[in-house]
Amino acid sequence: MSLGSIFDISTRSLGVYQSALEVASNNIANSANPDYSRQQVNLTTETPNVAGGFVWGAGIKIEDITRVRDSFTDNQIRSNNPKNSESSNRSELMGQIEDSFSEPSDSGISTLMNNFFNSWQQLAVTPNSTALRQNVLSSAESLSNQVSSVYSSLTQTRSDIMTDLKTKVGTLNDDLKQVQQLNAQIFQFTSAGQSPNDLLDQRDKVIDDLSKMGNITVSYDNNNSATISIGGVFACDKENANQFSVSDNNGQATIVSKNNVSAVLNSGDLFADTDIYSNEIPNDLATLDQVFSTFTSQVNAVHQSGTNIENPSGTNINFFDSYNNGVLKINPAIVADTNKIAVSSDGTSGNGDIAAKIADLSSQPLINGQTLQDTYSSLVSQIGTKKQSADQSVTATSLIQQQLATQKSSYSGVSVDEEMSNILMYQRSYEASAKLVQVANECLQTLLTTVT
Amino acid sequence: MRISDAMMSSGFLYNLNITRTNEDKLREEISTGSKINTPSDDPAGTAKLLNLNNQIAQTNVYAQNVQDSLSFNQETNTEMENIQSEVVNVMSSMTSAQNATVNGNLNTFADQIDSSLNLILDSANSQSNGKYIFGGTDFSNKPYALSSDSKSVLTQVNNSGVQSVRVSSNSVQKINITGTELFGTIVKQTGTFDSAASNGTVTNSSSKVYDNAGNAYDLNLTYTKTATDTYSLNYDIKDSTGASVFSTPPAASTLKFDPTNKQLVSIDNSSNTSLNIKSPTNNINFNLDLSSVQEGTTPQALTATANQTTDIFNTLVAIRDELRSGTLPTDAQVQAVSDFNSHILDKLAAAGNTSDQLSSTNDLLTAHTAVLTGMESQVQSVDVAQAVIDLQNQDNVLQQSLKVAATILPKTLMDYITT
Repeated sequence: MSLGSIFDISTRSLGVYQSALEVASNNIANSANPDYSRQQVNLTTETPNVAGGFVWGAGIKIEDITRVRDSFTDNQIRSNNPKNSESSNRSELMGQIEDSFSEPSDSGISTLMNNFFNSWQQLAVTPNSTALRQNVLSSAESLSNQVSSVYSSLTQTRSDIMTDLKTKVGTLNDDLKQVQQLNAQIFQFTSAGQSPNDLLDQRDKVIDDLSKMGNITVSYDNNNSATISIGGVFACDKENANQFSVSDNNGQATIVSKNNVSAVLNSGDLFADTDIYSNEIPNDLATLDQVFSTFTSQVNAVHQSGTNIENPSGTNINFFDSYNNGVLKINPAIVADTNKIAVSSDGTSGNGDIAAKIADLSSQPLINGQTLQDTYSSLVSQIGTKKQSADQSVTATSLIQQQLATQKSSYSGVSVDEEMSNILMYQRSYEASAKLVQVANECLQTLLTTVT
Repeated sequence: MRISDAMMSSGFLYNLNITRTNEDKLREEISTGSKINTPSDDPAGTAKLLNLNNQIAQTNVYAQNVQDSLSFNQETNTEMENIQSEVVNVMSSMTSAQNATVNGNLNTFADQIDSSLNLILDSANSQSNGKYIFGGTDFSNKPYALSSDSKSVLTQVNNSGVQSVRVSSNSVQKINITGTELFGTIVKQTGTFDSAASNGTVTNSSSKVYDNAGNAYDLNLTYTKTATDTYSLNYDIKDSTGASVFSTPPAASTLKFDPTNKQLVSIDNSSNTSLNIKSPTNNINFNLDLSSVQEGTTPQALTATANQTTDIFNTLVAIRDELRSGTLPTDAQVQAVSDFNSHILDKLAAAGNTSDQLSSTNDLLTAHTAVLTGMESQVQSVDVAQAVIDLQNQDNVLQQSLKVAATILPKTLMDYITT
């Protein structure tokens, strides 16, 4: 045992506490970084020396610097992520669909269709009134405008979803490439027995992002390389990253890999997009088509049996020219001359039986035992229910997400208080070690003076 | 539990966001006054709301129809009262004419009757909102007009059409008194065809009809069964010498019967069950009412009854012309005018009845609208007091959490380490 060993121990501890301060300062620097896991300096005693029959402590050393992370919470977050992102995307899209209908309001299809039937009811009372004939025509025009506006708004939402999907799949491909590159870098460190904490944090962040897009599975090998698959299709590992694209096959949007294998999505952001693109909007459009095709053919059938008040009178006239893909076209001859509206059942100008019959269509069960307006309001109510349940799901999964984030943050997050108290502790230890160097120096000085 | 800095701020933001969302929702409800602003606010309520809105709008249309009908009915009443008062004038003129002291100048009475006739004719041709009140459903022409020689009054249109108005989802109200009902000139055909008869079976019927001058003619009707439930009708009118009044025989009409209840459903594909027959050259114009003809397994002979006695116009024309030529009205003519007077009083009562029914329907509709509006309000309206209190509550929570956050969040050990 020599004076030199006091220098030795104190110099080493100066270095150790300086490093510990560095780690603490790195933690504080990242205290607001949500993806950062706090790092911990694990201190241990240096291997002791044996001299003179005693075991002499040799001071302190840094064993390693680890990141504090709980893989159980990570898995929980990754399994909740797709549910949360799916419901929030679904809620947003269903909100857009819901807004397209602008119900309940005076400009919605329900009110306008009712106005249309009511205008016939009024015409039935005074069939020779030009004003009421014009009223029938303008109520039909308003209805036609609103149908076409709802229809084109839904079609627009659908094509926007496709554009959005393509962007999202582009991001997905970038993320997969990034995971593959990070895997490769991490491998270099881990194979050398080191722990690349910041790279691991980066990779966790990208995997979290991926888990929001769809149902993914992640597995790790001995070298801590992540292998990911999306919807049952290989996505990336250490060597390769798959590339996906969006395909539209007969109106069904799917995410397909380079080798043309479709990912089977059942949750996540991408699933909400593909499901609404492939099923929800086409179904809504089909119901609208059903309502308005029936509406057009029924009104026409009754109208054809009427006689108009032209001279000479005409019959067998269609009120609507056609209904096709949201375009409800009124017979141009009627638009040009409302006297062509045919409401008389016996040819006399004061007979409005046919107008009354058309008005009666509003209360007839024309579609699967339901009236036209009931079928339509069921559709609106269904869309509302879907939006509502998506909203509720957003609330529920957000709460879970918040709780999981709190758990994660409680475990991995930086506490400035904690770091500051560590700093104080390391600083005191550093000061004490420095003092020790001074003490050793003074001892040596004393000795040297004595000798002289 | 270990508390990190990020936890505090993210937890605070999460809760703040919930409070803000609640507040926003309440603000929207209060400012629109409606609990349902999008279908997802209450999907079942939305369906109910759309349905109620439609019912309210429909009920309003029925109420509007009733109002229009009431004013039409009012005008019908006024015109009938005018006609009736003129008929009373005619009756008193006739009584005076028969009085020996004033017998000297029958022309004065003829003038009085002529003026009454013109007033009655005006009333008969009066319009309400573009519709001829006594024109049935045919508004193409004035219902009644003097013939070109001014010797008689002719019906110009088929004025037997019934105007009916839908006054509620399942009831229809007849609102007009048809010209035929009021002024007559109807030949009514009754009887039952043998539904088992083979195609080609011919059934004949005939009746006496009269022109405006009172000359008798024979109306011959020939029905030929052409198919099941379908008959073709040919007719001809012959004068006392046996010559047809038509230079070319009138076109045949097709009668269709309902296959189940065997009632007449259409003539020439029109649901009007009477046929207007006229021969302007002979001043013949009447409606042939076929509504009582039916098919059946127990056939009954076809009979046609002419009921032209209530034709007030031509009765008055005849009385006027006879007075001018110095002849006093016959007892039969006096009786005819008096009969018409009772007839129009009957019709006034019928119109009054219609008016009562329309008024009570109006009350029902008003009550119904009130009920529907109440239901709508239950589904849609916000309890403003409740919402304001809720909003105040949320606002308090928000203020408190902001205050706490302002005090706590920035504090760390840093604040207390003095250098």
